[in-house]
Amino acid sequence: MTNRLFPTLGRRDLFASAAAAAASATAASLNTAEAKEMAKESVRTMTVRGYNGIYPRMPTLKMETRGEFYAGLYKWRLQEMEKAADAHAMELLRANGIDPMADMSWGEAVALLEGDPLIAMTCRARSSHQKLKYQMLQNEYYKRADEFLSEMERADKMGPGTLELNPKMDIPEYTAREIHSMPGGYVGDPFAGHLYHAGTDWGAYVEVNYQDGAHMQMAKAAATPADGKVKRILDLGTSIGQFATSMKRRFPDAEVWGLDIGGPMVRYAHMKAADMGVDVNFAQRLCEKSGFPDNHFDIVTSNLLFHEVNEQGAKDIIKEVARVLRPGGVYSSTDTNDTPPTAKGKYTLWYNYRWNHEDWYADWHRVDFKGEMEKNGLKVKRSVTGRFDPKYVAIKV
Amino acid sequence: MARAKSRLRTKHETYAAEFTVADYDRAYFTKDPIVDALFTSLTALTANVWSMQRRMHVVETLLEKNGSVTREMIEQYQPTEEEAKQISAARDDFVSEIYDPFQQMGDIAYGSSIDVPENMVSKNK
Repeated sequence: MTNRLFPTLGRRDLFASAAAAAASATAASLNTAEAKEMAKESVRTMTVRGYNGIYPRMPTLKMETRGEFYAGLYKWRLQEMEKAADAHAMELLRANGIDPMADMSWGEAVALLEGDPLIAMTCRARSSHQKLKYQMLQNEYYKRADEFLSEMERADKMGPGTLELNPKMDIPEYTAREIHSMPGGYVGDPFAGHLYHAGTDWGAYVEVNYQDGAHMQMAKAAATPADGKVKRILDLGTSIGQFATSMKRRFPDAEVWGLDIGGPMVRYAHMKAADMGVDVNFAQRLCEKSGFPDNHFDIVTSNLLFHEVNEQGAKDIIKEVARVLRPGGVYSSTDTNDTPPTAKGKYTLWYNYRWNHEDWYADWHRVDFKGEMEKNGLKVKRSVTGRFDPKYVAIKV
Repeated sequence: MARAKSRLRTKHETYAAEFTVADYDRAYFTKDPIVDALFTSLTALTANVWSMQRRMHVVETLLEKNGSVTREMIEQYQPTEEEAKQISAARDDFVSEIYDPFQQMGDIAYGSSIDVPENMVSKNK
């Protein structure tokens, strides 16, 4: 079985896809002995419920079905409630003689819309969804923590691809926040990678990134150097490695690195990549101090990194990108869509910043990325706002 | 800002570091914190109900097929692609049934201000 976007899947990809297809085709429960045999073959010893495509199923039926519900609730809020609230906000502002598209600050938008019952309820729905989803996941992983931690310990030593963990490193406070209300954030929970993967599948990535489809599209769209030479790729803020593994699939001969400050994040990324047989190296390092030599990489990427980085961090990371990229090398940076410039859009930005704990949203909106890139010798070739397109593509001159 | 470590106690190396504690649990958005709490409780309850429905569906499917069922069979059951589509559609209906009333709150102002007859007195007949 081949992948539509990337035909060169690894051995474990084939194994997992075939297992999922077989399970689906027989319309029956997965034979327990087969599932256990599959787990033995797999890096994932806790995967006794089989695979769905490239990923193991959730460890229990309870977690899987709660996830179905939380995904459905997120989708409903996005497609139904937010639309109703957007229309309602327009009516509300017009009724008060205010142009809903008028340029205004976050503070002005909050003052106008705060307290409206429908808009308040959209915030409540988001916050309750985040809280309950992460709470359930954390409780379930903690209940069997020794088993899941043993699984990761086993995977730490497996390949392909290497894993570097630095438990003694200084972790800057700005990176140790409970970003988007995830308990412990990226550095503080032993199961941060597990929480992030399920949490985003049932949240921001609902129905768009199942099986890493969004990351594969982004990798497919990523710009390459004009000379076509792609020997080394670096993915900054790699999180659970979805973009890094997708880049490896596009460039199977390249050496690919994924860096993240979260130890539990890169552990999970490594376990996942090893399970799929994708050869990516993951390291727990700070993006602004990557430790690589000058002019080392042909492509540097980052996805959803900068909205989670403070202003100084963003400037330092751009400087580091310019240092490690070779002349002619390409930097592709994607991030979340800009919210519509309506009063409601600005209110939503404020909510994300203040109560979804996207603590660096304001910094992200303040940084002049194009200017910073050009100041550091990167020539910005493209600046677009598509969900899966590079937002900035820059070439090192 | 308060700092904390993971509450998990284990003999394993976790590679988890100290973090800054966020205050999201202190947020309330409606005019009454009890309403916020009720919405969260409703959502927790609804998640439980959906999980129970799904488990029951798995049990019924297995009983129909095999005449008996074990906990392990329930855990291992993997829906077909067709079943997965049906589950997804049923889930969407379930969510809509419970949550749609919350998006109709934009009518509150309308509903509370119209069509009250003036000087109306009810008379016993």
